[in-house]
Amino acid sequence: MSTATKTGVRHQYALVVDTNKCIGCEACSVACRVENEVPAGHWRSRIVPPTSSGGSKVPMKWSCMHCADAPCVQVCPTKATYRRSDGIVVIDAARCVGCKYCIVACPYGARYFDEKAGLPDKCDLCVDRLDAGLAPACVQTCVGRALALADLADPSDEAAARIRSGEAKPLHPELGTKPSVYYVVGK
Amino acid sequence: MVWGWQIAWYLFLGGLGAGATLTSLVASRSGSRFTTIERAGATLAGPAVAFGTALLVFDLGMGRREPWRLVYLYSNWQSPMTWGTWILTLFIPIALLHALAVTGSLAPRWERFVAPVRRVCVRAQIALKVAAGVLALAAAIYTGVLLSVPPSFPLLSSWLLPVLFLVSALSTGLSAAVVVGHIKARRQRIELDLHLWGRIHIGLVVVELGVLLAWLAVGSASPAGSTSVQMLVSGTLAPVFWVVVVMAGLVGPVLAFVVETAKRGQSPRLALAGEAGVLAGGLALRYLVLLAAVPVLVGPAL
Repeated sequence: MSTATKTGVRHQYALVVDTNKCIGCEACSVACRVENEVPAGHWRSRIVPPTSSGGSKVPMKWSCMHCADAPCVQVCPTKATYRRSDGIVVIDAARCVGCKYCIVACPYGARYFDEKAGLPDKCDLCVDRLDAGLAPACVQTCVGRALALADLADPSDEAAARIRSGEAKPLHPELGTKPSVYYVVGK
Repeated sequence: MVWGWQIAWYLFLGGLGAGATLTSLVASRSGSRFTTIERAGATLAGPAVAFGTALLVFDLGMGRREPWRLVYLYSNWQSPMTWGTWILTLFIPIALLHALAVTGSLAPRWERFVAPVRRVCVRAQIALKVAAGVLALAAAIYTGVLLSVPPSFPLLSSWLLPVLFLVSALSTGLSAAVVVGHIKARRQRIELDLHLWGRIHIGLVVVELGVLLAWLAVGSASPAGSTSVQMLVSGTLAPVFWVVVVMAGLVGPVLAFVVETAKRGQSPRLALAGEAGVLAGGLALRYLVLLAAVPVLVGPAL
């Protein structure tokens, strides 16, 4: 499902991470931290370094996957966490009681609890910037142009074409949550 | 796991209160010689669940600072936590009213405050018992469902967890009712028949041991679940698991109840030691379930 903005344009957002272009510089993490005032010790977006055993062999941007079947949305008792019609999973801070069930439920471990605010937090694709017509801070900052905001509702969108062609794949689809962050690996 | 000791105690007390209610209902169907157990179970259920719920609220972030937000908890019918909110909201007052219906009068200066409500409760006793029984079953199962629904922790994402929590709830509730009943009976200098409860308890603990083993076997099927099980049986949590949950909470009580049953209720101290072991084991189990939860993903793998 996609949404119509005030200008009548419909959007269905996703994020494409081209790991071939990522140099692991963490500029995206820093830009996110500054933009969203993420408290020390927590992260909305981070780079998971490559490992010689088990994990990924390349640096991986890791943040909320904005799942279509998001466990956090299902379990949130207050409906504070919900998925917008443009595909972005957001938290309504005015409704949240801070029960932490969403943090427990997220298989991607993408949420943290801000003790000072008494609320959970996570990547919202810089929704305020998006609504103002700007790209998310991480996408804007990425020095290798490894990150691209895709709009699946736009047939001419190049990043969306990489998703549709299957070149960009979701992480751990076996969890069944239908993530909206897609990765291009090993070209 | 972001949930800590408050949630472990809540899971324990919620189950205990539910089990105490069900023990009370079984006692009321088993004849007048079990009135002490019936009353003990009914009396402690409401306060136990209410105290556990208070811990749950204490663990909240904004919900504790701005309590009016708690009304939002009733809104998402897809969320097990919303189910739980409804169950607790109904169960606590019903459990308190059930206690009023089956217990004797308080000291006159207190009784005059509750006498009119008690009269209504006594008249509506059957309806209260049915409601308390249904809600107690729901509460005992729900705490396990709450943890088993999300896919994030393979050890917890198993239908056996609600079964384990249900059996443990029945067992800890029975123990709490027997301990409180025993204290009351001693004060009133009456003989308490622990024999029947020991026999029921042997069955419950044996079933719990079986469900615990099945839960661990099913849990170890995935890599993260296997790490969790390893933590419990041979890792950092093993001393508490084997000593408190298995030995003090399951094997020890079975032995105590078997000996006590063979002596036909002549060893109340042994039986009470068994009950104390069940309570310690039930609390430790809730703690360990949270502490052993290893996330399904430890990092990206493509």
